[in-house]
Amino acid sequence: MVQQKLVLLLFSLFLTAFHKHALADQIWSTKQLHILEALWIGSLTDLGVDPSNKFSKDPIAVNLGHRIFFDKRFSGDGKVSCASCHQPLRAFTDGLPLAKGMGQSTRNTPTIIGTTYSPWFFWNGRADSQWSQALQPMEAPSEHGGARTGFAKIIYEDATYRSLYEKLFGVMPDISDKNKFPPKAAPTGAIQTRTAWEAMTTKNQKKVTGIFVNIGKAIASYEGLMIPGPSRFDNYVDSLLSGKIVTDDQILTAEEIAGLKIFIGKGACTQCHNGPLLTNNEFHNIGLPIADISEDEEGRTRGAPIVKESEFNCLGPHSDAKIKDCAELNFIKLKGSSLLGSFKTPTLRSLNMTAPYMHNGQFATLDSVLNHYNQAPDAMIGKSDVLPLELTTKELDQLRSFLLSLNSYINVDPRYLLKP
Amino acid sequence: MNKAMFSFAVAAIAIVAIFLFDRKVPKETAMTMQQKLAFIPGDLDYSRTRTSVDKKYIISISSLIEPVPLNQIHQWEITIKTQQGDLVDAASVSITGGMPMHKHGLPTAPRMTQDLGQGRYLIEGMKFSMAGWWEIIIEVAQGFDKDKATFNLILR
Repeated sequence: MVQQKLVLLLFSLFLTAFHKHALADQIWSTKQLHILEALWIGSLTDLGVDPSNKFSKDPIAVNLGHRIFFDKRFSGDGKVSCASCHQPLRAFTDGLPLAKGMGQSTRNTPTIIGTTYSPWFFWNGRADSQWSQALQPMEAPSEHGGARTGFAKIIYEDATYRSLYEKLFGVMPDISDKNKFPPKAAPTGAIQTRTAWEAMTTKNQKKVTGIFVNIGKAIASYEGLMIPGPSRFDNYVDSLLSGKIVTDDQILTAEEIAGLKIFIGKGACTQCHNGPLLTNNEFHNIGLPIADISEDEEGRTRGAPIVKESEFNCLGPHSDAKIKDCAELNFIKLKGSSLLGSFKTPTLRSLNMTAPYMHNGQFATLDSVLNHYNQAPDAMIGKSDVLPLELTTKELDQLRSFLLSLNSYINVDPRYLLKP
Repeated sequence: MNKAMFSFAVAAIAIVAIFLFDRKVPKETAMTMQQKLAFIPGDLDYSRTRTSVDKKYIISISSLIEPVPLNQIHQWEITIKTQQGDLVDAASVSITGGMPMHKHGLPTAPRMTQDLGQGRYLIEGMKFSMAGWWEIIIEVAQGFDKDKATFNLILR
């Protein structure tokens, strides 16, 4: 009797060991399961502190950044905040083809969710940290349209901001003198703004730029919280990996599962949309229609030298990183035909909230995106890196259904999605 | 047949059933054009030690992170010997590569950053941003003795 029980126990253990393999393989091969696991949100590991921003995980920095993110005073006309375009309830996008701040932008607003994992920012990757990205729109005339002296003064004069700032970064320099620190001065923007900046002493310019950088670092600390939660796709993979029986329609529908098979198979989508954020964060030319062929459309060809030369890059004086922490910048590719007309691969999570799609908002719907890939026309600038998908209408529907199964909430305390 | 043997027989049948079931994974159908970009030839040589084209050097490469990571910048080490087995020091080493099917290069500009001695060299800035077939091309020059070798790599 004891012997029989022992045999049955061994048999049970054996079946348990093969359980995951056996059940998952009803639909997926071992190789496919590895691909699914790599796309699963559970594969996303915590990055730790950003070496270029030592405050990136500091709760005070998060608090300060949260407040600034929603504060419209940080703009030229007092009407634009980061949240004007990066609207939390639209997955930090705005629903517009092209962003609209103080003026009309030439770019579609990308989501912030998960971007803390990206080595590059903006569609052409002209910034290499979340904090240095945050600085540019604040002084861009068509976006916030403000100036760094004005931003510094808001922090200096607002008791709450100043208290939080000084807890983090130390005592602020005295910037109260309006002659030495004019309210609208910056090295970029309108001629009056630049003239006012040039009239300042180098020492005073450095004081203001230091505060401006710290504002960027606080905003980045807040933005770093925005990580996607598990989608139905993730729950499906989670079940497969834990060996649970997963039937059609239980977590994903048969159509979504068929779409997933296309995504990792016939569609070859995972060549670029890989990893748990479904992006390789690199730059590709996918032959998009371009209404106005300008140097702005050169994509990475234009973005790479800008970030290499930026005073706000990983190797610059405002970064907290050591040289060894800046490998992406140290080994950046500056030349090559593949850079021309190439833009950053976006995440595919929360596609239900992030339309219109592509860097110029070329496509209003997911169907039009998939139709583009299905036809893959030649590039209007540079050379396209995609070929036609050649999928049937039914397969395109399946693929769209799968992509929408990647929708999820943001894995953050909801209070961070609202104005503080 | 005693009960223990009976249990063993049941277990054996179950194992066979599992493996038979395993074979029911549907096979892929004809490739799309896009899928051809992801095509990996069946006869690729994946050896990490190769004789250079003009047989001047024997070059070995190894990633300092295994398995080779996707989307993560990392380092490789290479070792260079002559055909006679002598270690090649103080050579000039350059590295290029790319995806043959996509006809594009590496996403970064890696370079040799350190001559480690004993024929060994450190390569920094390696990155592979797409799943599929990649080539790594190592060019070695010592005086006028220039030569190169191409390595194949699959990223999953």
